Amino acid sequence: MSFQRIKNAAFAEVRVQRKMLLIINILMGAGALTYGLNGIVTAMQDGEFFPYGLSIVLFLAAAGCGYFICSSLFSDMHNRQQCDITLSLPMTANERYFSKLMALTFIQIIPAIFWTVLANVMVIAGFAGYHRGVGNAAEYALPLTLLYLSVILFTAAVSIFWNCCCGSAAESIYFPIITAGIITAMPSTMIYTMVENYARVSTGYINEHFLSLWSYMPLIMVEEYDAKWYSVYTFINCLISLAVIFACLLIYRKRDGKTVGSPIVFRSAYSLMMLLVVFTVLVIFYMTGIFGMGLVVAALVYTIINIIVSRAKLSVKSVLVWLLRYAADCVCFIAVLALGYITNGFGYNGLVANLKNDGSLYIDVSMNYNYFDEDYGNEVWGDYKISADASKKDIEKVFEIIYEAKRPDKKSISDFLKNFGNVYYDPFDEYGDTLEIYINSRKYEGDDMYYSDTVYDQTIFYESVDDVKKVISKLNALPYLERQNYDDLDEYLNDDGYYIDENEDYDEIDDSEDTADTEDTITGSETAE
Amino acid sequence: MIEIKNVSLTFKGGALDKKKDFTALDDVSITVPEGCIYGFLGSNGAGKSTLMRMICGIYKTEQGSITIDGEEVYDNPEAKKKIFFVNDETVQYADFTLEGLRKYYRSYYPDFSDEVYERLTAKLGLPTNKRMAEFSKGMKRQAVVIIGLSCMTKCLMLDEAFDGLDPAMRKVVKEMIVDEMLDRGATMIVSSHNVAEINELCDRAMLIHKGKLIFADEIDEIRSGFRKVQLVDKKRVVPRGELELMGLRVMEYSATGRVAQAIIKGTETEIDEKISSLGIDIAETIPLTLEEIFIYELQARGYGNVISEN
Repeated sequence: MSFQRIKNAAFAEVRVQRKMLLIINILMGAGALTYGLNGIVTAMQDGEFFPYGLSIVLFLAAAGCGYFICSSLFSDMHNRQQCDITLSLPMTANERYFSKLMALTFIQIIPAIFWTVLANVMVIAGFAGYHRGVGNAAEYALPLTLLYLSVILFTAAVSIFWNCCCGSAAESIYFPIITAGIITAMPSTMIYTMVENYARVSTGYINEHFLSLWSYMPLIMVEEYDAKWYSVYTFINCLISLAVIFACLLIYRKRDGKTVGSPIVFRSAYSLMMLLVVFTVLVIFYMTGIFGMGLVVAALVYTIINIIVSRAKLSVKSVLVWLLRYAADCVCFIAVLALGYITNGFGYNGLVANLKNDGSLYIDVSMNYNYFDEDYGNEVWGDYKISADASKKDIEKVFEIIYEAKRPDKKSISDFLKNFGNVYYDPFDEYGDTLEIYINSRKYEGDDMYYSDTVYDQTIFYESVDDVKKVISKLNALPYLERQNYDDLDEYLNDDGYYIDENEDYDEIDDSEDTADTEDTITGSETAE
Repeated sequence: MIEIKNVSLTFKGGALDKKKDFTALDDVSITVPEGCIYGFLGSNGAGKSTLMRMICGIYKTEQGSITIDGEEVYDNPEAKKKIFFVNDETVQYADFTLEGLRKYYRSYYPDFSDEVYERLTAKLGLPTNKRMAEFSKGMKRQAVVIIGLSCMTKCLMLDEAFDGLDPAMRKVVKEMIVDEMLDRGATMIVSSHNVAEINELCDRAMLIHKGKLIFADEIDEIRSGFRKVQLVDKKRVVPRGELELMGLRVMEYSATGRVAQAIIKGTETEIDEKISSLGIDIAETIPLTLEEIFIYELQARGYGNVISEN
C-alpha cells in the first residue's frame, strides 16, 4: 500500500468535491459564528450559557451532508461510468478505500474540529473578557465537539456500509437514512416494550449508558446527560463508528465492477434491514396501543421499499412473495416480544450490581393501591437512606427481601397472546396493589432542597397488603437502612389498607404529600393526587 | 504484452431481481503483442467491453488469467499503471475542465506528460478552462483521448471511442492517436462496430460473438482465410453439397442462372486446388473485406437471421 497514492487520490477527490467542501464550511462557519455570538451576548448579560439553538441546527445540517458526501465519494460502487474510471486507475482496493476516508476527513471531519474549537474559543474568550472566568461555557467545549464528531462519524459509518452493499445511487442514500433511524429508535423502543413494560423495570440506565453508545441518541438526549459521562459516551460512539468504517473495507474489497447497477448486492444485509424496519414500525405502534394500524403501516412501508428496490416489472406473484416475507418478519417480531414477556425482560433486573454507593443513595418505596370503582391509582410512600457504609451485597440483600414475597409472574405463551391482543391491557387492572421501588441519588443543595436522579426503578406486584407488610418489616430490620418520611405508608399498612370490603364505609384517603422536589422519572406505575 | 488465457465471466442475477446468470465470456484466449494496434470486433452484447474491462482490472477474473507483462492486472497498481481506459461515455467528466482533468489524472499516473498534454491541446485548439459539459461530443472525446495519451501508458484502450463522431472528427482523433502511439511503440486496443475502421487502423483483430471467440489473428491472416468463389459453367451449376463433399467449408452459397457464388473458409491455395478438380469453365476466387468476414461469420452463427426473415 502506497501512502503517496492514497494522499494523491484523496486530494484529487477533495478537488472533485470542492463544492461540498465549500457548503460544509459555510454551514459550519455560520454555526460557529452564531454559537460564539450567543456566548458573548450571554457573557455580556451575565447569564448562564446554553449551547442550543441555530448554531446546533447549522452544525447538524453540515453533518447531514455526510449522506451525500459518502455517496459521492463511493460513486464507483453505483455509477458505471465512475466505476470504469476509478477501478481502472492504478490503485489497489485498499488504497482507494483509504483515499476516500482521507478525503472525508478533509471535507468533513477537519472542518468540524476546526469550527467547533473556534466556536468554543469564542465563547470562552467572551466569558473571560467580561471577567466571569470561563463561566459554565467551558463545560460544553469538549461535549460539543465530541457530539458533533459522533454524529458525523455515525452518519459516515451507516452511509459507507450501504454504499459498499448497494450498487445504485438511490439506495446508497436512502438506505443509510433508514438504517440510522432504525439503530437510533428501535433498540430503545424494543427495550422499553420488553423490559420496562413486561418486567416493570425502568430502562433509563440502559438508554443512557448503552443504547447511546452507537446511534444518534447522544444528540437526542443532549439535554439529559450528565456532563461528566456525556463526553465518554460520545467518544465511545466515535470509536464504534470508526470500527464500523474500517470493517466496511472488507465489504468494499469484495466488490468489483460487475455489481454496479444492481440496487442490492448482498441480499442478507437487505433482508436484515427490512426485518428491522418491520420491527421498528411495529414496536412504535405497539407502544402506542394501535398495533393493528402498525401492521398496515409496516406492510405499506415494506411493499413500497420493495417496489423501489426491485426495479422490475411488478407482478401479482412478486407482491405476494413480499407479503409472505413481511408476514414472516411479523411472526419474528411477535416471537421476540413473546420471549421478552416470558423471560420477564430477559431476566433484566436493573443492573443492581452496578449501583455505586457514594453515600447519596436513597430507596423510595411507593405503595400503589386501587379503590374499586375508581379508575385511578393512589399512592403512599416512604423512603430509606442507604448508609454510606452499605456494600453492594447489602444492597443486593434489599432486593432479595423485596423479591421474596412478590406475586409469581404468570408468564406463558397463552398469557402473552391474551394480553397481546388487548391493547388496553394494563397489569394494574389485574393485580391491584403494587410496590414501586426507586433508588435515587440525591444531592442536597441546602434548605432541604435536593437534586434527585433515579438510578433504578421497578414495579413489583404483590398478592396482598400482608405481603407488603412483611417486606417493609424486613427492610426496617436492616441496620444500614435509615427510615425517613414513613408516616403515610405506615398508616396505610397499619390500617390493612384503605379498602377491603366495597360494602363498608372506609376512611378517606390521606394522600401522601409531595415533600420532595425531585426530577425522578416514574415509570410503569400510575400515581395521582 | 497482454495475455488473456481461458477467461470466462458470468454475471450473476441480481440479489433481488429476476435476472438469470449471464455468461458474458466463455473460454476466451488471445495475446496482444506489444506495439500492435488490436481491434476488438463483435456483435452488440458480444463481450468486447466486458473483456476490455477485465483487461483494465474493473472486473475480477473468476476463471482464467489476464496478465500484462506477466503481472496479473486485478487489484495490481503496477500493472494498471501500464493501461489507460477510455470508455464509451463521457458524462462522468461533465463537471471537469480539461485543466481539472489534467490535475486529476496527474495524481494517479506518475509518468503523466505535461508536454504531450500541452502540445495536443494546442494542436486541437481545445479550451482548457471550460467545463466539459459545455463541449460538443467530439470535443469531449478529443479531450479524453488527449488525457489518455498524456498519461504515457504502455497500452491505451478505447471502447467504441469513435462511435458517434462525424467522419472528419474521426479522422482527426484517429490520426492523433496513431501518431502518438506509433512514436512511442505503445499498444492500442480499439473496440468498434465500424469494421472498416478497424480494418484501416489495426494490424490485428479478434471477433467475439455471445462470449465466444471466433477468430483472433493478424488482419491479413484473417482475410487470407476466407475467399469468395464464383463458379460459372455452361453445362451445370455446381451445388453447395458438391463443394462441401470436397471438404470445403462453405459459409454462404447462392446461385443465379449458371453462376454459383460461395463464401468459403480456407486459404486461396487450398480452395484453388480443390475447385480446379471440378473442371468448371470459369472459377474465380476473390478476397473478402474484413466487414464481409464479420457479417458472414456472424450469419453462420444465426446472428442477423431474424432481421432477414422479417
